[in-house]
Amino acid sequence: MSDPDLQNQTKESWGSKTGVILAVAGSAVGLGNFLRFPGTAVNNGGGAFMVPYIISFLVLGVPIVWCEWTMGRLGGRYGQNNGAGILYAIWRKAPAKGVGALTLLVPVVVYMYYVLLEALCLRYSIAYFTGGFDSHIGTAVEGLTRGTAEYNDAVAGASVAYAVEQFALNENGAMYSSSMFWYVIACFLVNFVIIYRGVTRGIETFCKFAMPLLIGCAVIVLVRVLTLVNIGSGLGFMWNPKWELLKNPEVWLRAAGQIFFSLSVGFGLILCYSSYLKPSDDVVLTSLSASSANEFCEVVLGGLIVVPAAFLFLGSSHTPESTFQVGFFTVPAIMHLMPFGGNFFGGMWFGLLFLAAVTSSLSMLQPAIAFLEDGFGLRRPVSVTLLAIITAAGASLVMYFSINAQALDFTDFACEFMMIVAGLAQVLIFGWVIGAERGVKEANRGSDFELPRFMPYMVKYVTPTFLIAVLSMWCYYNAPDRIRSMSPDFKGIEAALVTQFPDEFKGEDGPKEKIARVHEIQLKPTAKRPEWYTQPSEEIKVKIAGARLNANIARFSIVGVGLLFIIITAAIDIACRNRIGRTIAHAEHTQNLLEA
Amino acid sequence: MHLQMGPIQILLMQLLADGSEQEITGLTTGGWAMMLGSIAMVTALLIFCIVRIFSESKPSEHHHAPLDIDTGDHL
Repeated sequence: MSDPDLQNQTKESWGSKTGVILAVAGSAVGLGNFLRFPGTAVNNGGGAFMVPYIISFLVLGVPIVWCEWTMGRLGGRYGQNNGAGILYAIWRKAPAKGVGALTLLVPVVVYMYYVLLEALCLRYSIAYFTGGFDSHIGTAVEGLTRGTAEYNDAVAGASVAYAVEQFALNENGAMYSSSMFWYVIACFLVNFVIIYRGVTRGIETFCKFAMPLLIGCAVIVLVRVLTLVNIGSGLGFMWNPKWELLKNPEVWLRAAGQIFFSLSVGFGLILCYSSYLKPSDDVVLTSLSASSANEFCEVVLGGLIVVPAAFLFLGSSHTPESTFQVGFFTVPAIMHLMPFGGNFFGGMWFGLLFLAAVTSSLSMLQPAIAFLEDGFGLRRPVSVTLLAIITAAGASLVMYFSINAQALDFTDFACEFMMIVAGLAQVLIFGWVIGAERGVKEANRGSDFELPRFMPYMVKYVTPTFLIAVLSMWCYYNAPDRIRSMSPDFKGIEAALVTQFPDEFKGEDGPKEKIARVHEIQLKPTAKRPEWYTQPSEEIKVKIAGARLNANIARFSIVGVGLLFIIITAAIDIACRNRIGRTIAHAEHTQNLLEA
Repeated sequence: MHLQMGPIQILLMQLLADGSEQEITGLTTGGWAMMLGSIAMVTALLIFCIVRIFSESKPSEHHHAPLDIDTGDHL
């Protein structure tokens, strides 16, 4: 027990309660609040979406957040600041290492593509402030009159073209030779310099400045949007409830998913951040404050800006559900179309998105840094350098395979799945391994107010059941399409079919008919397949090659994430048998001495 | 450069096509209720948390270490 290495450890901790709230709120407030929430809400019932959304917040979000904060603070007492060590300190069984691997893998993998979106926000912000975006749009609207439908459509088209060019959505590898490459490098430097400075001097200091600035910028943009002429129609489009959609289980899934991803639960970020609390620091009020700050940004700021303005300028067909499409196709167009200071508000909007993205990406790096330090005793310069190399390698692959953001899309898909699994596992560990009553008692220690009496039942039965339902529905709605997308044969035939018969699958049942036709062709031996597929024209040949490449990128992304999971699990196993195991034993021994 | 008919191009076509636009003149009573109710709920929750945090005794910040150690001495 007299390991000098362990005794010389200096434990970092948060400087103040405000600091930790802003840091956790900053980790949760990201692009999803401002871009994903409004797109999801308007496409899933408008105002009616808030019913499943609020129920999910109360039944799913708040209990999981409380569980994670409590487990994180508990793990911190064992000298652990990483999800894997924290979960192993609580549950000394092999499955804890697997769940721990998810809490390290997901943030690192998400960072690999999130940093590209962060760079894109920075690129847009600078392009607005310097007039670069204006000059791009200028050529597209030459000869058109401002305020006409043709002008607005031209701006929308040019905005999409700009995003396609910046993110190299039409050509693999093109991002390396564009200015975006340098923006990505700049974002890497910003993130790693802040993370190198540590929890208090780096993350906390940055979030204390960035969060108020971000909210201030969002309020300024919000005031501008709410003072637009006829904004009532935009607000009506966003908030008028479509009650009939509540009968659709997919709407409930979307609401639960939005809450889950928005609060950053299941990620391992909360475990990591809360482990830097002191043993008697409050977790109940602190976590609720961070969650409520996140909800404020999402519902008030996110819900009133993008969709109402998009409807006002571009109509109802310009509000897709995808975060990327809303953020980089629709928003740039509406900022340009906004009268009086569109460039200023556009620059400010993307600036605030950039800040939101940085505060989130910092929280994605910290768990892995903490693991390298806790698990292998690496010093900060070494752990930061090592993580920079790993994330740069992953991000460079996502950057290279940029056609239709295929690598990003599939990595995101894999991470969403792993997050729900990790979230479910953490609630089960809290409710059944620690024990719900014991867990709630631990949460109440040092708390500003006590958790409600029904909380043990909630975390033991209700929340896990809800999460299992979410996971099952998520798999039901997403898995078949994703599995098909990974088949080069299926995608090749589909691409050829759509090119050969461009008008055939446009009806309501078009997608289903298309899938049936592709399956029908797939079942035939090669010799009996249609001639337009076996001896394709040049155009179809290009489409087939592209589609097959996309399917292979999707496979590669999933296999890559799987391999990383295996490597991280092995690393956790080694660390738990050595340094993490020794640190936990040392902490237990010290606490026993104090109690004796 | 291979131009494929991916989701980007499909969306671009949708954006530029004369789609079936919804006609909305303003907020309905239900729309007002949901919007104001949601905003009021999250704002009230945030204000409740801020008030509770700042109504706590100030010395709790930065003054942890000595108090965290329970020496077991109860005189």
